[in-house]
Amino acid sequence: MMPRLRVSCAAAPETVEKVSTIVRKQLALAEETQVTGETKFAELGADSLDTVEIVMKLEEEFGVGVEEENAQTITTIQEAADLIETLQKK
Amino acid sequence: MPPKEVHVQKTHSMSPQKIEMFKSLENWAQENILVLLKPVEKCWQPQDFLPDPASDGFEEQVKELRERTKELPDDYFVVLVGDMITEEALPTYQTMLNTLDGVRDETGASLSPWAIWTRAWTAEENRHGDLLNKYLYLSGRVDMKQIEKTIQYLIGSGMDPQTENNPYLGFIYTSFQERATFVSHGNTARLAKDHGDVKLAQVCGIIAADEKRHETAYTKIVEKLFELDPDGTVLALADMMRKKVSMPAHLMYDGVDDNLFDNYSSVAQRIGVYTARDYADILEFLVQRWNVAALTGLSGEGRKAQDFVCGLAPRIRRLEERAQARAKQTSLAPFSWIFGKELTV
Repeated sequence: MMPRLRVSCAAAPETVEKVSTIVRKQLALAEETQVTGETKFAELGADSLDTVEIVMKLEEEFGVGVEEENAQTITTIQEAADLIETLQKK
Repeated sequence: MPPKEVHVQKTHSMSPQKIEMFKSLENWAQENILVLLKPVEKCWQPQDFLPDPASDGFEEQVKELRERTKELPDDYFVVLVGDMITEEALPTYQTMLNTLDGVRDETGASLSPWAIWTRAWTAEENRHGDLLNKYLYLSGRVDMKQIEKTIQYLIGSGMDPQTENNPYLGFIYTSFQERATFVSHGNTARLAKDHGDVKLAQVCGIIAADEKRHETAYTKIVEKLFELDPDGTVLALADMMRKKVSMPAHLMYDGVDDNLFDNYSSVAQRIGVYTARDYADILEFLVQRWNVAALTGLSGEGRKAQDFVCGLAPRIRRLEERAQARAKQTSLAPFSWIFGKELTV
């Protein structure tokens, strides 16, 4: 079993912003809907299909590859941004 | 321990007014659905495809059967066994149909066309498990006791397809499943032929033909529902697809393998009997069959459901492409149905 990546530091605001944009688009959120780093995808109405598609989009936009077991740990925008930055540093 | 359903089991989600609608459709069902049943006298029976124990040639016929089945690979057998076990859990499916409000068989011998359909459908399906069971038994290639144990566990476990006593959900579910069995038995027929067992190919083929006819019946019912209540029906379709159509035998257990269903599905996927692509194709077929894209006069929620359903098959396919593109770690798993031999899953 591959050890899970340990994500050590919080991502830069620009990364969080970019992730938010992707999530907003995937879930077709209204302009007024507020999202923060802590917002859970599930709270925004994402089903399991949406979550996988968000991860796919993040992979494309950031040029990273997300392993299955790490994909499953992402539940908020902050977590997605943190993971992306950790993968980019590799 | 056999697995249990994980979701909360919801009941009676259809309104009482809609129950009345199904009563008023009884004549329509009589004229349009019962006609899709085959009269018993015209039906094939398992004996038509098996060695004849009453004939002098019985032992020779059995010998021939075993010669043919000798050429079939183990992974094919595992999938055929899984399919047979699914068919043998028929009591669960008759039960499930009788959970549906407005169409259930109230006495066990009700003369309502819906009830007549359910009993006759069950009777036709009953031949499938019987035929596959006897064929597999005679082949000598599989551990019958382990298979029989699995069947006993499975019938004991039942299943909850999340149809909530609601015939909208119920008939959408059965439409999907009949097509799924039509596809998978069609594939086991093709593979049997490829491996040189023409008789088994006929067996699987004749079962597939029944499933096709049943698919025609169930899709006709849902087509009628779309005609009478497009909004309610499209919402129901979106609901079933969001919940994901669970396979009837997903709680299967053989006393040994806690991941039996996943392992069996994995082999079925690998050898092309029933795949994630098939799931997407079936959805797409039904969306076209019911002309979902052309529905009009929908509520706001209905339009959202329509968009969701019409856009879903391509999304599933894209996900599946991504999953295929990743180098997947395979492992070996033993299957008690084939005496503990290991297959790649």
